[in-house]
Amino acid sequence: MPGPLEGVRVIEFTEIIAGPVGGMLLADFGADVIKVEPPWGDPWRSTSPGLAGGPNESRGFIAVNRGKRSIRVDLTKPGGRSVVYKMVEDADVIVLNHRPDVPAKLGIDYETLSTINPRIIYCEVTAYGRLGPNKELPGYDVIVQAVTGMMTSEGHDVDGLPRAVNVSPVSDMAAGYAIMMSVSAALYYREKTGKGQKIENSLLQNSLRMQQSSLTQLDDFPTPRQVWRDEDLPVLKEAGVEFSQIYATYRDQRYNPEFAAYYQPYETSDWVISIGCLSNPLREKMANALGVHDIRFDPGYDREAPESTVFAENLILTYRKLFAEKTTDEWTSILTAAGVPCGPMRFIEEMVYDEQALANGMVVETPHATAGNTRGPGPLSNMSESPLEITRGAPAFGEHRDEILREAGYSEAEVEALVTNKDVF
Amino acid sequence: MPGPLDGIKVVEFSEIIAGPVSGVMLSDLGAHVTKVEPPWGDPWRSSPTRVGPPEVKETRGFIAVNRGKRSIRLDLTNPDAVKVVHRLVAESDVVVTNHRPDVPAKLGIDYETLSAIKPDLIYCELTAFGRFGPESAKPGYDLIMQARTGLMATNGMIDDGVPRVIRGSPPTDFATAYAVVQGVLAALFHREQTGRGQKIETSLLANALALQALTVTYVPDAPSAQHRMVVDDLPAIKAAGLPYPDVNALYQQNERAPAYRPYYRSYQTKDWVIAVGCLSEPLRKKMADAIGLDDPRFKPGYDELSDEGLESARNLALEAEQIFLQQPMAHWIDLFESVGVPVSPLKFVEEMVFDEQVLANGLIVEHQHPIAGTVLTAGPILKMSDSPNTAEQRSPMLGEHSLEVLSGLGYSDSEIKSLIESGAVSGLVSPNA
Repeated sequence: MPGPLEGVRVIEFTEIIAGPVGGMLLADFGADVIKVEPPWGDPWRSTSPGLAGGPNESRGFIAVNRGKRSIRVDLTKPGGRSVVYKMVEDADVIVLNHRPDVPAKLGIDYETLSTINPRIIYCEVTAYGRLGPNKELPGYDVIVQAVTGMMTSEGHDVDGLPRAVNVSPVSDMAAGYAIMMSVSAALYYREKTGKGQKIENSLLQNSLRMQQSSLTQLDDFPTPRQVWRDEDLPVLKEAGVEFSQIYATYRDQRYNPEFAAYYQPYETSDWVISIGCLSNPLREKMANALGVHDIRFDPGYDREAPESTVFAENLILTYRKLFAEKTTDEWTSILTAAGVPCGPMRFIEEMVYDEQALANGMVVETPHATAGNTRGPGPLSNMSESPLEITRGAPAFGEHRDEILREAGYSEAEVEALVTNKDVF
Repeated sequence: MPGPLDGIKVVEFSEIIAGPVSGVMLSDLGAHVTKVEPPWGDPWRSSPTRVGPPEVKETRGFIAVNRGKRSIRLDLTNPDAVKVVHRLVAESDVVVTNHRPDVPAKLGIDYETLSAIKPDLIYCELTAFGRFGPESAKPGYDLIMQARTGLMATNGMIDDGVPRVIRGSPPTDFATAYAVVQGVLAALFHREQTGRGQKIETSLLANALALQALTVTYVPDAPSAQHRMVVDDLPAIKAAGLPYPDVNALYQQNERAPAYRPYYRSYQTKDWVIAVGCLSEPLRKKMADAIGLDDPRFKPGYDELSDEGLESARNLALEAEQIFLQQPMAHWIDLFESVGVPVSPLKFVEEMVFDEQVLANGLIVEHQHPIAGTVLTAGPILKMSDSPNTAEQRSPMLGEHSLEVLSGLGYSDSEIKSLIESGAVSGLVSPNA
């Protein structure tokens, strides 16, 4: 059985992470994705981490371009452009991530492509959105994390500087997920109405969406944090107080100890275990499993009282002592038997052999023309009626030129002429 | 113009963050979302950010992730309440659940039961660990998955001897919410073409790995230093009882991609912090030229992964730190914007609600909430030219739409009365009760 997007053809003009992840997810769901690359390739092909199989193949690129075909086209040349226009005639979806002025310069803006194919679904990702004072500015994940407060909320501090969430480029990944989501919505809408459309999406929007809870929690005028932002922060900045000092104040203000003891990692006698209780029944189960009486669950207890905060802070210390008395395995058995969510700390390097991940097909291996087999995460979902299968790896640089051009109706002689003329590589 | 999911009815049985956020996104896309809550409500209604008296069960945490839905309170241990659900599902298109795998069948809301009532139903089930494998029955939240999949260890920050959770946002919850919406949308497209519904399964575990797509692929067959440490040495390290901060130091010293860190990080300037982000060689050259950094690695044939190359990366970072300290932030931002280097001042999330760029793109929406007053939420993540996304409704109060949902299903006034009396259905909590 094919994936749900079987038969949908996507043309992708994207670079680095956000756009490529969007295209990869569409491929995971069964779409035929063609990546149109400039003659020099997506710059992510030549990033340094983990070069694999030649100068144009990095593990970073392979990780986010699985399941696509690649063709190198020079869009500054009329011949190159005409190839793309011919491909667009038969395509369903276009995905781009460029600065807002670039698509029109390259002749691949919505107005041009929707004239060629009125049913086209055109999904554009920018850093800051189409409107506003920053609309022309470039931006990557690390910029967007800084500009939206994600970095300061994170509260990590290395040599006085906040550090980005760097284990995963979260706003890039969210934007990639959003591409897949919006294209699917537009495909559904087109099935019902026959109409294509333009979709706009940005790193900024997705970074805010990821902070949905923070945003809604901070608008209770005037919380201490609000007052701090409006009254103290400008004064502190103006006075030239060191960032690390301001940052320390900010972190203290954000910290809410109330139920922190029930949602954090603890050191055990041999390793680290993470506990996650976000509801009172679970918190009570955990307290009972540890043999602790949390007085705040007693009927009629006033959780607003100052003693309640003191209790909360001491509870963390009590739990630390208790966790240090047994091994991670012992705690895992005790807490699991009590129905308390917990997990041992792992490294990502362990996940590629992890029994649970492998049992669910969450790590897959795909071939690559020059880099050998590589691993990546499996599909995000299992679908009973249109299962997702991952068979194709990332494309080698320009790997599918001949078959893509043949499908677009070019004869062998025409292909040769395009290549001689350096319209296509 | 209506959103792309105009006319689609979603029934959501979900709690805390991942499932609820998916419901918000479906609602933003135009779907009509009904949240079925237990009589005591989604536990997130009792999270630490309470507004109003405790009995009305409103928290900012809940309001943030339940915008645009209706709420009905049902006691699914009561057969009459299960009948209400079955009538609701009979006229719906999509069901979203997040529970431990054994729970839906116990509550009579499993795929087999519901698809017998509505054969082309799209049923999306979200679990912590997936349907298969030794841990499939275990509960899990974002934090557990951060620990369980390496997100926390890779992030590498230590507090009081243990790794610190990523808390700028719960990343696996949000990724999973996005994945639910993708699965539902792809299945709607498939149903439109084939007439068939289906069951979709996704998990926090799958999405925690997807977020680490880059890292998973970096784990090579010819093992890296990090890989060797974890796979070959970790058992011995654990057995030796090394404190976690020391383990972390060992792990982090083999950082995966240090070569270009000087071009992708934050810097202290004379007066404030900025972030620069250059991920391609042309951008890195622009930045180096702009600040007068002489980077030998741009010479053709230079091996940036050699020991000398890595040493030079560390020295360049120290040099750049000194350069940035010499001028205020405004200087660097003007300079970088004039040469096209991505740069930003550091902001707090508290500043976002007044941010000109954010407001210009409609990324914050405001509602009046009967208990919480003015509430702001993150706006729809998409703009769609022919089927716009909107966020018109605030989050529902617990049981706010119980009566409306029942009368919409054709229950008579007397039937509704007896459902309420039996406790199968509950209405709005009165703050004066």
